[in-house]
Amino acid sequence: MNEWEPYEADLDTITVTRFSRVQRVQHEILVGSFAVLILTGLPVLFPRISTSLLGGVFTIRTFLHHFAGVVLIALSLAHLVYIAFSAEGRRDFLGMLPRWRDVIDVVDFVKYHIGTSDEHPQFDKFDPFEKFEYLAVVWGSAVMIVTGLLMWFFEFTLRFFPKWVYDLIVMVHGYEAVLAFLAVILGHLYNVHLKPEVFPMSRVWLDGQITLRQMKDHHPREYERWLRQQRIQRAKEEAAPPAP
Amino acid sequence: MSELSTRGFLQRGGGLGDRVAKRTVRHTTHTRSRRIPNRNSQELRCPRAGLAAGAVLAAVLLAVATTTVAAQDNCIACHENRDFMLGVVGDSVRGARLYVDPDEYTATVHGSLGFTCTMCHTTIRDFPHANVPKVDCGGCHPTSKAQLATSVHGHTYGETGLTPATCANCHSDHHIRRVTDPKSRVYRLTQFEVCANCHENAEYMAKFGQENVETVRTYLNSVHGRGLLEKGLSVAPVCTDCHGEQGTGAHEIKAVSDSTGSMNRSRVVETCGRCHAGILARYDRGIHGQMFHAGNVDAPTCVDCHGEHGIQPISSPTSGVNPRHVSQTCTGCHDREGFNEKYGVPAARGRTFSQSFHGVALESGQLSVANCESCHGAHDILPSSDPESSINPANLTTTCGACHPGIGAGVARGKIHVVSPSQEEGGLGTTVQVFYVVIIGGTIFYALALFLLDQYRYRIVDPRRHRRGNHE
Repeated sequence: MNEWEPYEADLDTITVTRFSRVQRVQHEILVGSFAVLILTGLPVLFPRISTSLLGGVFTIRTFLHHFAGVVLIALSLAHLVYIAFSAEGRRDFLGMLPRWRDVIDVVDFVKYHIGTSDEHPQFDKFDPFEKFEYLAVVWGSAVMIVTGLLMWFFEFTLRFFPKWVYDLIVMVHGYEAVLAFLAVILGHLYNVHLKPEVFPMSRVWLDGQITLRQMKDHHPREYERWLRQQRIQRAKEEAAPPAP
Repeated sequence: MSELSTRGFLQRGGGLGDRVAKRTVRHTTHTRSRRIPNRNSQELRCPRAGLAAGAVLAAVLLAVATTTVAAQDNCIACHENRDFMLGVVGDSVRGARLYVDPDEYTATVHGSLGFTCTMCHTTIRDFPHANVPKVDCGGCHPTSKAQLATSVHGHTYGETGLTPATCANCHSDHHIRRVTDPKSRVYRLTQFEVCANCHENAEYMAKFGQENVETVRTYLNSVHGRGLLEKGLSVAPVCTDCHGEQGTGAHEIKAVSDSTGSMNRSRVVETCGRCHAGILARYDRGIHGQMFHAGNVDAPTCVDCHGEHGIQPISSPTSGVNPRHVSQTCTGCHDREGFNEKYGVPAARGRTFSQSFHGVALESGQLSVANCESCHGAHDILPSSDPESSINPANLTTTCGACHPGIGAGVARGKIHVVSPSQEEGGLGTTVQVFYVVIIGGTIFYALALFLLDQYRYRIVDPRRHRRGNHE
């Protein structure tokens, strides 16, 4: 086993793929549908202000909201197929599941930030916050899709539920929307894009690439795994006879 | 002197200057046979009743005419000459009033019947006229006179001693035509102009304590006024249709405050119902009509929702019952302080509607969504407890189903006007609310904590480490 390591200067230039193309397409569709859903949904919670601002535009609101909802449903189904049947999807989905290790990582993270330790927390490909946000999206989408469909087809819903249950469904849809909006605007945008390491924006969602340094600093365990693979690869190449 | 003896209307007489007399001779001789056919026809009609009787009457008429002709003034000889009349009175306004156009008069209802001047101006016998009192139309029109006397127009106002309108104010003096004659001043299609003469005159109206001089203009812009002017509908209601009594109409116009008036609160429903009979029947059936007929003072009448002179069609954006405004109109009473408690009806109808999907969509301009009227009905609104009510729980699937076909029966279980979801039945609302408030708070805390931890490390911890490293 050799002790190969990338040159220090290469850490900032060599990149590895963090988000595959399939993952990026999913993310972009999610961003688009989420933005439309929020823009056409949240104003309903503040009708006075929004109708005075949006006026007649508001009348196509319902159509746009339903359309974006259908896109989100289609995306969710596609994502289920992706994590069930693609090797990459299955691997990354398993990486998203919470483990005991996450608790240790969070403690290390806090320790590092309050200055009691200078050791970076040893995150894997997905840090505990990223896992939390992914699972929040799964949870949020599920709630929004179910309540949204029940609201869309309320004539049908009311055959099985009384009106007061429908009112609760509407209420849940509204609260969950506020929650999702805040989680994305405050949590995700800050944690992924605005935080000091990547400010003003991480480019992962656009080209899927992350520099070796970013991986080494923020995802050390993933970096170690990548390094081991590289060393094995190199060892194989060295062992093989040079081409004639 | 008998009336017959006054039939000297067009007969020549002396006593005037030669110039005037000569001109009049030519004129009247020329017009006698052409313009007053009735005089001849009256004589010709007689033989039809019987030759002998006719001959006798003709003989009497001729005898009377010839004996009285010398004593008659030839009214028209002077009064058809405008310049002369102006010269006599030296006042252009009065002079114009004294002028009578014989052609015009002949075409009027009185002229066409052959009525002579002195039939109305009964006191005038000689020249110069000594005493010219106002003509009393009541001699021939006693009913109209009596009706006018009880009306707001014929009634003398205490302090001023003025009577707002006389016969001539509306009918004119010498140009009175049948009401069905399009040239009549009170003909349906142009009647409003006569009313406007006074009712748009602020100074005049102020004498009778009336401040509103916009009524006619407002009316002309209403669905009724536009029906009259734009559509040219003779059935469109004019001033006197509503303000007067049915049939006899115009002479009995009363003040709105007069309990016998057709526009008084106690009678306005019945008055509108003269034309809108089907609507009246529905109104009588509804809770508003029931309460109105029971003497309730809060119950709305037609004008409370639709307006008065300016009534607009529902499709007009300025109508109080246009989809855009109907909820404000209804909540004018139904969200009024103390109203809902007084009648035991639930509160916050306006707010709960405007917060609902219907209300929000309506606010944004989607007029097809449900407003108050869509579910509750308009004229025949009934309380939900009434089995006939469109919002009785048993009828809700039908009512809601009009827009939402196949809606489930669950719509009847729960509130349509949701005052507060947290207080809904089941008590789950509060649980849901608390749950979300906690996790939304948690999310904010989470984001804030990440931000503050980062900032602490980069702004406090790192610079401290850096300085220490430099010192060593």
